[in-house]
Amino acid sequence: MNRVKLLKILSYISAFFVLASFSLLIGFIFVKGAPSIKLSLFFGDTNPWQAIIGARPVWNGIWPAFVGTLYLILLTMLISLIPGIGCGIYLARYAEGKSKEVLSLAVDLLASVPSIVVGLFGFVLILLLRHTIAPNATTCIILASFCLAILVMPALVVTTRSSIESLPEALLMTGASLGFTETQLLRHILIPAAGKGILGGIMLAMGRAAEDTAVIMLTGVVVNSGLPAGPTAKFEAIPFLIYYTSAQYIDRDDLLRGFGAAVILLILSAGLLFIASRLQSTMEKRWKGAK
Amino acid sequence: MQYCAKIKDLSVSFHGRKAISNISTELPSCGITVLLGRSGSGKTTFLRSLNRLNEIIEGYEGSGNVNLFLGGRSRDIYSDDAPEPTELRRRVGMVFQTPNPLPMSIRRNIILPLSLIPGSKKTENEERMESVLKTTGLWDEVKDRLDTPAGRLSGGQQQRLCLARILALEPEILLLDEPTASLDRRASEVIEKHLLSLKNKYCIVMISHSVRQALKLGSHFIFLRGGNIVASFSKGELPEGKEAENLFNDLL
Repeated sequence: MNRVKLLKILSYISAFFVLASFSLLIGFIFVKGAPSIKLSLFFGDTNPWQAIIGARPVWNGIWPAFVGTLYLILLTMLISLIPGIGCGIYLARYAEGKSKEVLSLAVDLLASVPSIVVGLFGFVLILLLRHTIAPNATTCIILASFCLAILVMPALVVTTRSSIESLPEALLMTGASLGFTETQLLRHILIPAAGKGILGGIMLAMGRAAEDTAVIMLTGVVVNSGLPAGPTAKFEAIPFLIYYTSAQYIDRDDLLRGFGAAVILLILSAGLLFIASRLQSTMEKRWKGAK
Repeated sequence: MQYCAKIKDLSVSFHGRKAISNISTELPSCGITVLLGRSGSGKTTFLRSLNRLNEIIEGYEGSGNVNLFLGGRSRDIYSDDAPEPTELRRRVGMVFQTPNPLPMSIRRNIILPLSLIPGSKKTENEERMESVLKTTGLWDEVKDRLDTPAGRLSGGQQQRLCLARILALEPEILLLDEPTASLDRRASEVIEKHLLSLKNKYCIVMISHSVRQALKLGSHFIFLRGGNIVASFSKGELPEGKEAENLFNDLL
């Protein structure tokens, strides 16, 4: 048997392996969790409408954690999107020589920091603030989002940079020969053409922000706080709720509710990824002007 | 004779390796000037030094003067008096060896570069698009599918689109880098026909890979070897028929 054939078989097996693990994982969570997905999983005994408008607190449902996670993801993206993508563009198009080396190294190092260390950093930051300018500062959702932003930024930088750098050289030549300035080249050709790759980075970052537990555990997540009351309030989050349930469940139903929450977290992430990809494809269509 | 370009002591190197050295020549303002030479003889570098496109390539270093006749007067494009490179590249348009439409619709390919010129108007741009597509004989072929991706056109159509796109910017000088090298014979003949029809309106400088094409289109010929000009002729100086072809083949 020749090597080409062997490579082909190996790649088939690898592809099957990925598909199988994906199906097994998702299938397992769905089988365990789907039965407990009903309104009461979200709102417990509280009237759903009153819970949604925040008129009444929810005691035994995952609604506050759901909203907390949603806020957390949105705040994290709000903080990390511009510096992450901006730094990627800088590295791909403007940085030169020593500063490029140093900055890429910094990004690589940042990417390798474990999330628990990032969480610890957030915690220490609050201690520092308490001893200096803000004696009342405490861990909260904005701090958690800030730390998550640090955690996900490298993914944004690296994917933005590599998707711009991997664009064909001819695109630069074409743009320049048509009299585009460097800024116009970036704005009208390079960034739109790299859009799919950049979207990949955004998806990675959102997924990471949705699932991370280590960072938020040290920066303000709690088991029971109700809906987040503001940027400086404590909050609930689904990944922490799952983590907590798996360690502290009282009975079988409680455990199954944990699985239900896992399914909801998956659906929430998938929904956000879907929205992001639709947004990107709409922008790409407008850029290409093709119907 | 009138000149569209006077080049003096032009040298260009990349990463310290000379691509062309001490070139001095003049390019007539009417008719097509054809650059000939083997690959690596510096034709493309010479062509790109006329619209300062070499500068975007890493490791570029250059010296010498290039005076172009633009907007009714002669200007050294490497001096302080020169227009910005971005403006220069609109006035000295370029078509490449392989068709390079942007990955967008036919319409956007022409409209996008136009819309970035300060003060351009949307309706004027649309009119200009129609007129340049007619000039390059594309209008009837694409008028019903202006909003489909340009990449779906045939190679020859893509190359005519690229020509139309640069004509839309109203250049005064056209630089063509082997514009038919990647096309079959029929598509090449269509392009050649359009170039002949443009030669009285623009100063055209083109690189050609074929002696036959050069003789068919050119009125002035420059031979490069190893980054230097080894010979140049105008059409009148050439022997008749087959002999000119033999002379050219000997020089390559």
